[in-house]
Amino acid sequence: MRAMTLRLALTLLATVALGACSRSHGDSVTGPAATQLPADATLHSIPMGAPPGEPVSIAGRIANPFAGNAQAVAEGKQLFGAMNCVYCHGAQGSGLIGPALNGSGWRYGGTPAELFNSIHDGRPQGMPAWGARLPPDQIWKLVAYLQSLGDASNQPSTTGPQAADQDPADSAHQGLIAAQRAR
Amino acid sequence: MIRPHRTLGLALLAVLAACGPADRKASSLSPANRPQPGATGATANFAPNDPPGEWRRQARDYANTRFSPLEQIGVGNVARLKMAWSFSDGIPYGHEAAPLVVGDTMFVVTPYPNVAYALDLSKPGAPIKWTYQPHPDPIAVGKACCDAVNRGPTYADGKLVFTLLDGEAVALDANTGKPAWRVRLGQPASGMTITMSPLVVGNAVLVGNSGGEMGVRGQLTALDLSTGKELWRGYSTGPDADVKIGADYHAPYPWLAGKDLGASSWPGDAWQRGGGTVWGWISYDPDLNLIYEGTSNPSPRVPAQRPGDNLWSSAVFARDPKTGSVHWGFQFTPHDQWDYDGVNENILIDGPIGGQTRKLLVHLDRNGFGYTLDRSTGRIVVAKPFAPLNWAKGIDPATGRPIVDPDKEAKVEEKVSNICPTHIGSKDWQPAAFSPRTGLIYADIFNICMDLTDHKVGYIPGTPYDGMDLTTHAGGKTNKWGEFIAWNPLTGERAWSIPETFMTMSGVLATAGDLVFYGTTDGWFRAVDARNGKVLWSQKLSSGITSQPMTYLGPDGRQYVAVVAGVGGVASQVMGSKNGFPPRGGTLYVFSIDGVSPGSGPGMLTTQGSKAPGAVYNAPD
Repeated sequence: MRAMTLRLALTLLATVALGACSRSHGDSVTGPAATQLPADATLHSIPMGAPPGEPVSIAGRIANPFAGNAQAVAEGKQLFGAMNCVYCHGAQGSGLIGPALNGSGWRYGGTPAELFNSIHDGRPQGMPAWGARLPPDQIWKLVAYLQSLGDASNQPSTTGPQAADQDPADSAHQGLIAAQRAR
Repeated sequence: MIRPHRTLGLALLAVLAACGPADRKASSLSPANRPQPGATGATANFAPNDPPGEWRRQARDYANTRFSPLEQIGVGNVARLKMAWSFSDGIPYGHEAAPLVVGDTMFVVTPYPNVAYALDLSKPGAPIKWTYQPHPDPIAVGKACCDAVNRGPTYADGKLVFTLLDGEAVALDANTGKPAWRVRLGQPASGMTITMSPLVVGNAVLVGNSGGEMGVRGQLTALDLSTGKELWRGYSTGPDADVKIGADYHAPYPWLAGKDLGASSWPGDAWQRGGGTVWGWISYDPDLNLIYEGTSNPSPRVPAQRPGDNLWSSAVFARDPKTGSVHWGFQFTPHDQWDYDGVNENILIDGPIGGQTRKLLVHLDRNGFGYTLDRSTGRIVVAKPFAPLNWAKGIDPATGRPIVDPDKEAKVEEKVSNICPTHIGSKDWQPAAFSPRTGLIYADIFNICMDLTDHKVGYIPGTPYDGMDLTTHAGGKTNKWGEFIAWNPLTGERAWSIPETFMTMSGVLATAGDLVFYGTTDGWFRAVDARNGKVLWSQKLSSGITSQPMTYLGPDGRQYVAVVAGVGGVASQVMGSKNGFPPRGGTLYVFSIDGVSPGSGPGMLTTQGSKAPGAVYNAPD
């Protein structure tokens, strides 16, 4: 009962937050009811920095239930704008204030579960903890959107070696402007 | 026969001046700062009249001239400038500060994590005397819009005072590096950071804030220099009581008169998230006893969400430093639609206007207009474009308001092409300098325009409240992104200019040697004849220059010029992807004539190789 109330409150909060943004119009961002999401306990057991030689970390075994789902990717992209992610991480995740998210390197791990945790719990250099604002299915859709940017990471960098650096100071080199040119 | 002798004599004088120790305490204020033939006639008050060889605050003086009375290095010998020593801080964020020199000590404050160093200038190589590591909250790195920068410390009454990116101010004992106090002024989780350099007036440490891109409300706080205790706080938006508008206030123009304009010029309670942050420079006129403070762009950056003038964003306040009470306020860009801000430095000069000497304030605004205001009243004396612009057709002399071109107004979900200047303006925070010898203002400026599409945004604390979607390009057909200009503040005309391929975004140093120094974002550090714009010396450094050059007299009596190479900030955001843009860095370079300093330079080697005890190698004869 309590979990239901919390979930309802989170959904309501997210709806209010989305309502504030003109670009959040369109279809509902709530996922199909049947989708089975990974359990919280499993996600929180992911160790930071798996030991070298570990064949497959627990993080790598947790799949994003929305991976490759075009509708979910579209909803994730919409959230990326509505939650103001775009003004920190750049259009298509190319980096600006925050680090690039288009596959040019991951500071806290790039598996779907690690991305989920980064969004849900926040990270020390300014990334807010979105778990307080977004229900898990919406965070997984954001992850699905980020996974969809993976192709971009295979493109040759246009800004030289700095693009691969994980420091925000260097990811800023790419800039929103450069990113938006590529849009 | 006379001519060669004179030349020889001048050369000898130059050599003597360059090599002979000088009395550091002797006042060289006069005639060093006297107007020379051909000057505009503008002068300045160089209070607090620090020892001529020192540099105790970022702008050197209260008037924000960045003029040094030192003249050992001049037009005749500047070509012999060479590196004397250097110091690297190893930090990859944008470097926007000048070091300070007080007595025999140089003080350096780095970008985040805002480490402070004291360097002993009396010893060879200027070794580290003490280090202070404040460990600010790393959350601030992801809240600072435009890189984790810091614009440098200030020195007063034996204390080194500076701000920390995570919204704090700190005062250290300048002798030991031990903190005297450390005060929090806001929460970085909400988006507030601090990058500005404080100014100390009397016992008041004046500290502003950053976060105009995150919906942070602008504030200027006065802290007690000895304890850090808050003396007063004036906000940039909201009711008069919050802004500190009261009986002292006199509106420069009728539209700036009225009750609670800081709230009523906004829809609803939008002023609470309205920006107008105070991240630029503060200047002070001891005669009028007024401080001058610029305010940032309004939040959100999308104007469609905040109909009204949005006072007091993109404006300047004149306040009483003891109480914060506003004496006048003037808004450069009402209802700022382009992120133009009003934070740029206000340089206080006195000059003849219509046969009368007037107390003036010179402000090259991001919006492209060079304003010369009467600093007693806030009324415009001169307002002319210092760079090409097209968002306005001019300034209405009756009201002081820009005449906006409707074709260049920002629109939601509709692209508006070629707005000039771009969001960072024709000139950003990088401060200009003033020389009383020429009466001119010298500034690094931009030639950048934008194509802009606005998207409405929702306010989520601690995230960008932004909405500007833009691409930039060089203005005109020159593909020159930068320019160094000499500006006549009494007529609103350029004296001369030097176009640069890359953005020019450094502070400027002017000296009594009739030199002006500036840097480029591709790493050139140049010395120019202040009278005619002739480049006399250039040195390519290891990174781009977005810091502020300064000059000082060493304990050895020599004049040095110092600048940090460490490109970053908004320059890297705008030009970082351009071919040839340099990588980051963080190295302080110190130059002297022939590169001489204690322990370095030609003939200065104090040690040599000697045969080690027990050495067995015998060189063949």
